[in-house]
Amino acid sequence: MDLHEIKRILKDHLTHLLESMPDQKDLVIDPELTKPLDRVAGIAFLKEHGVDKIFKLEPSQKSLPGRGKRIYLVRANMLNMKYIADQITAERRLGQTREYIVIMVPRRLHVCEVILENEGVFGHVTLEEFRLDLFPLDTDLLSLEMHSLFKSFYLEGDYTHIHTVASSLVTLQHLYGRIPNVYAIGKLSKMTYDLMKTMHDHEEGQQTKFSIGQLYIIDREVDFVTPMCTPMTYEALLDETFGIECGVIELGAEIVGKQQNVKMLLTSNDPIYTEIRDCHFSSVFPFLSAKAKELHAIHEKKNSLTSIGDLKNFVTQDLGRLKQQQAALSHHISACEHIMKTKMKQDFESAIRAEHNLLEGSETRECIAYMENTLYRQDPYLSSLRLLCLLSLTQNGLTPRDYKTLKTDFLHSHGFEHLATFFSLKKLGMLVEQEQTSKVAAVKLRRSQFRQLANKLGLVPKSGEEVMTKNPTDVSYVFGAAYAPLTVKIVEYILQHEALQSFEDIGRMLPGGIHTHVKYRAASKGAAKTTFLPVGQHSPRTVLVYFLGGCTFSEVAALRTLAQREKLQIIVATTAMITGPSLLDSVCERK
Amino acid sequence: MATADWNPLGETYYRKCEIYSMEWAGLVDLSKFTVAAAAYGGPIALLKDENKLNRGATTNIKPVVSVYNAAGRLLSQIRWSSGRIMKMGWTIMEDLLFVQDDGVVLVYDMFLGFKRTFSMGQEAKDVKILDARIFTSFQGTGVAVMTTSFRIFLITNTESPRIIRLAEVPDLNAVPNCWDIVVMDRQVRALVGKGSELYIVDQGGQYQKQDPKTEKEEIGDYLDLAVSFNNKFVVLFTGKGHIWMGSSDLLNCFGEFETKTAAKPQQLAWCGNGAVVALWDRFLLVVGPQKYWIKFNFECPVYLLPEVDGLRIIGNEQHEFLQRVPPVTEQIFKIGSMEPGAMLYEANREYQKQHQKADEYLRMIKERLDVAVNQCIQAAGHEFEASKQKQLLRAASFGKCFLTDFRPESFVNMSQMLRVLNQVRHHTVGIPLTYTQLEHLSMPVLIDRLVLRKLFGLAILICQYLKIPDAEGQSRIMAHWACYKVQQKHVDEEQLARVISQKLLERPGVSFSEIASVALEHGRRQLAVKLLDYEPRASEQVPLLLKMGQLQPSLNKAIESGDTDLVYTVLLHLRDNQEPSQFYMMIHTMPIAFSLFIQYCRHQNLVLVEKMWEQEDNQAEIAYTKIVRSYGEDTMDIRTKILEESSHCFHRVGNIFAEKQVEEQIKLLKHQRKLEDEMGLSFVDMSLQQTLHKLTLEGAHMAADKLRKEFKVPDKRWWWMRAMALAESGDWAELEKFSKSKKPPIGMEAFVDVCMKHHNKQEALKYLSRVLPDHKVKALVKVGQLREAAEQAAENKNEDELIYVLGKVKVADKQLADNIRQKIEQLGSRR
Repeated sequence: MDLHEIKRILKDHLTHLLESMPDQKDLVIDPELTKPLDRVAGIAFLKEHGVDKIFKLEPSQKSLPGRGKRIYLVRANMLNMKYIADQITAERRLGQTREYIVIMVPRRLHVCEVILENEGVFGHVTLEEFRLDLFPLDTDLLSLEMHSLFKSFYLEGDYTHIHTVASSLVTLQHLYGRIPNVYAIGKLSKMTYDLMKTMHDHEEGQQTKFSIGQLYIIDREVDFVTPMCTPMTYEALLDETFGIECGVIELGAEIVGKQQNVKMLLTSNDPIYTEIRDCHFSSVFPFLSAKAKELHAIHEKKNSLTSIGDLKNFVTQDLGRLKQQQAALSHHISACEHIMKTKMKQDFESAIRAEHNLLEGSETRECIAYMENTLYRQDPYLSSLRLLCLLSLTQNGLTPRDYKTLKTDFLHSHGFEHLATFFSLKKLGMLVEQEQTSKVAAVKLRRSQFRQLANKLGLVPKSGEEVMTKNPTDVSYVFGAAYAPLTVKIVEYILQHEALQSFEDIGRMLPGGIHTHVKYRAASKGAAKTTFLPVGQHSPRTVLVYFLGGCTFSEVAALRTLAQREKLQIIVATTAMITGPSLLDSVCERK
Repeated sequence: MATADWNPLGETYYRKCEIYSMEWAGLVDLSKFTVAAAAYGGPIALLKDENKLNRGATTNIKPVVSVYNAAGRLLSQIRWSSGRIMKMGWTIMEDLLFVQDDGVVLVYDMFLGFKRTFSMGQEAKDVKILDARIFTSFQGTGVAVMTTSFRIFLITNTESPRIIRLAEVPDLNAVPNCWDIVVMDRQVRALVGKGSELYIVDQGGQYQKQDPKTEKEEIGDYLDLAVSFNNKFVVLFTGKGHIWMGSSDLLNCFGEFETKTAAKPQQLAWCGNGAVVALWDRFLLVVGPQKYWIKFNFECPVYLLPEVDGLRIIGNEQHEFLQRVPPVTEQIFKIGSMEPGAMLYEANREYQKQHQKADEYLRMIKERLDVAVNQCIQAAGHEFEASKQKQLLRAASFGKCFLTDFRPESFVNMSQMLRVLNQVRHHTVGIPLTYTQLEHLSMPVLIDRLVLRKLFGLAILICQYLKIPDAEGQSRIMAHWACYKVQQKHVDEEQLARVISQKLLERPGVSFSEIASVALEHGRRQLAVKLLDYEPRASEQVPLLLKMGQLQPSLNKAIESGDTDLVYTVLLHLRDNQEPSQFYMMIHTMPIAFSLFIQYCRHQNLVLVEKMWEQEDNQAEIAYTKIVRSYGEDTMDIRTKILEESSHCFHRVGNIFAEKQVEEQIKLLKHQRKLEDEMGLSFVDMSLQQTLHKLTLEGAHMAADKLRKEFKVPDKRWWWMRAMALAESGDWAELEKFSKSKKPPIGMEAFVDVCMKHHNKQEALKYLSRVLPDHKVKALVKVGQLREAAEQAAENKNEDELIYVLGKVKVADKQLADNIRQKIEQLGSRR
């Protein structure tokens, strides 16, 4: 399955939109969209279609210079509309008349129109929509890159973007055929699936061809534990340390030892990166040094070349590639060093030990003492908060006493505004206080949910169990063999138990449960792996896993491992790529 | 003879054939009416002209307007009740326009149902208009008026009127003899004849005097002018009876002609693009470019209507069509034509007579038989009479037999088109389209026009016959039918809903909301509600439900659809159109709607959010919203006030913890404010810990201690803060003093930590000796004394610690590593 088709279609649509305003024009772009647009089209592409200057939409700018024609490309939300309206009003007051097109991403919203109308600029703009929903970050990774979605979904109950997700699935199925088997895990997944079905129902015709066999829609709410764990794979660590934005990281000048910052595109086009991205961090350095030696050897080869022809071959074929690889290699090494340095600073080992203890459910008191210490020592608040959440999630909430002391410490250390943050986290169920009930019930409650799931699905490998971190087959390697991501385990479980009628037993333990819609069921348990599709269909065994509310690179790595082991093609789609800290940051209250 | 009605005009021929004998014959005398007919075989509107009846005498009788189809069948009739009509004309959508003397334009449909009205501007209203023109622009149908102040105002599209004022003709003080509108290159200009001068005025404010090149010295005043159907050509008629024909930019002249009469013709028009006709009472003159001419006499007054390929002549008895004989027809029927088409036609005739000559003819054109067949097919298209069409098609079919690889599409298409054309030309339908006109108009438009005439059945039959997909053919027609149906007030609503749903429910692409919307427009609310129930798409359904005031159902439907944008549409509508309390009651029970509205409020104003929560009596939410809001306020007083309110809210719900936190925050803010005043540094919005840290850094130990007591900072936190701050400020003496003040609750290793954090090994070593054995190994590792660390670990008999130290040993230091390994072994063996 080639995901580049999506990119092509997006590009066509964009061309059409840009050309709808003839001649040269300026483009004002929502900062949130610059990176996605860069991945989809790129500056050169925009210039080709008559874009002259490119501005960022900033609330501080009351008017902009430039041409008499202007296109706004923004996410459809109320704030953006206000900014645009302010600019247009200000410019009209200055007596400048312009032609304006406002392109809303991913679709035109009535609320936005109402706002433009209320601000009195509706008559001066032409409205368009650019259906930029899912776009490929890599050959097996699609993302909406909508980071605000988590907060609006789970905290504010604003389901506007369920429509976005559902329609992105509809578009995907237009391209690659209807997906026969769907597993919706969690409440919002169910809603998304229902909406998708309604959207499908309005269309005519039944497609029979399909290239994706199964769809998993997974609600982030089902598994908050995974993002709260410290990742161990290279890619996930890069994301935590530098922040991968739309597959691009920016390494500071001081890190790479150059004059200016280096931007690096992280995709499977980089052969070195492909090999190490999903490796446990401990094995990355050895690999890189081996690679360095290997490249050095190739480089040395040129000294042994005798004939002119060989030399020419070397220069034309190998040298360029070699240079490229060397550059990439040196960047990776610098990045690695930087990660090590940062981790050392924060007493990484103690943190990891505390985390592992929490996952195993042992030595809780010590962990709490450790957490107090991190607060006293003014460690970065997101890492403290992350550990707090993990404590709450694994222990089914904090005891009232712990909750009060830790919260007080946190507020005193990191500021009073986090009182509201705690309230949000409570609403999300990520950090809660245990109900004061009788002791027996409390014990029983504590046994429930996370522990139960962990036992049922084998999320926490037994200490005796050896997980080969260097050549992993168990997905728990992504967290140093301490924990296997719940989301991935659910997928694994369903894949392996496909023939079963339902998954009620685990569904009952998950908020929102599992909803299945299965058209083609495997005949029996034994045949589960072979009869994926009905007879006569020889399409690859492709599975689409769609994360609502974001997905971490650890999960991607785990799914890749799973795919390799089960000989499947797994495509991951998500509303955004997230890390634990970025997730928490999005719900934190600001001063 | 096929050529009997052909009249030569130079190289070409013109023919005039009757298309209808009018049904109004004997009832209508055109001389008493103002006539306006629509192009493309459109209907004819007649306005009883009071002026024509009793010349000059003003009467108060309101005139009667009637609309007939092209065959003279009455479609509708009304008595005019508005102002004085200056001009009447049709739009390309077949709407009838009436331009009144006050510049108001009224739009009626073909059945004289009033549609809408618009004005041609204030000036036209103030000074009245003299004359008007209705023309086809690049955007649709345009209207131009000339006011009594001789200014021209125009609009280019009656669907969205935007008034444009044209430049003024210099020194125009009297009514110009003639004027008309020319549309060129998306520009609308007016051509005005003022005496013997000719001007072009445009919308950019420019005027140009024109001097068309002429072979005569003097041609006199310009009396009349006419623009061709395609706007490319112009004909001028001057006071000396001179006719000038040329391009519409007046640069190229195609021909001139002397009529030898000074009288202005009643009508001057183009017949297609090749000839000009002028009408004086009952005498019609056709003039071609090379001074060739034909004349026709009529027994009654006639009205001329230019079409794209000819000219319709409407009379009291007859409706005729004057056109240039199409070249292909000429090739076949011209006497002595040796064209292959002509030969094939002859061959077929002989064949039908079973004469061997057929073979001879065929042999002659053997090589060009395909051309012959095509010519016959094309020529068939240009015939009005079915018998002639048949003859030609038979000839084509005959020729086709001798061709092996002739593609049949053109033949089949032509047969189908002719069948359709013959149907619509039937006098009950009355659309006398030619094949050329149909090509211009396109089939979908023709079907629309049938729908417009409420000939739903015929339209559907045509769609079925042409196999037009249901969605764009039948379904669409059915939808129109339903829209028409709902307007029939005499039919019971229940029955209507049933009939409509029966016919339309299974059809793809029918929009029930559109039908419902029409029903609503005609005041049939109940019917609209019923019909709307059939609409599957919520996005269509909801707006209409709102319009009908079905508020609760619309909200329900919107929420059901899962499309929050739709929910917003309803919410905002509700908010604007209802009492706040009522609005609140409605969304109170709908969590999705409620949280969406909260979301909307949050972007507008946080106070609104609080109000919403107040309605819900959700004190916790109010309290937290207030906290968030407090950060947005500038003055300390307001901030404190809001926080106090928040604290009350917490109190009300018994959240003692939060209440205390807020109170502490208020206290902290006051302290910070005071400190700022005292020290001239900024403190506000720092956390307690940060404040203490900063105070310690600044050496304000007293102030820090005061805060510590007031906020009951736990010992451990206090010690960490102080140790870190002192190390950061480099106050090593104070740090040492602090370490000795009492037994540190955070352990002496913390002091080692903070020293090492600021890279002061010297100071770190000072504390090392006081670290308890349990923590010593780690502390030693931190300062880099690995050997000592290993020894300490061995002393502690702790294997884990030894392994930990081993992990920190650099690869180069082999000796130490071995040493440690040895120790581990010893430990192991001893156990």
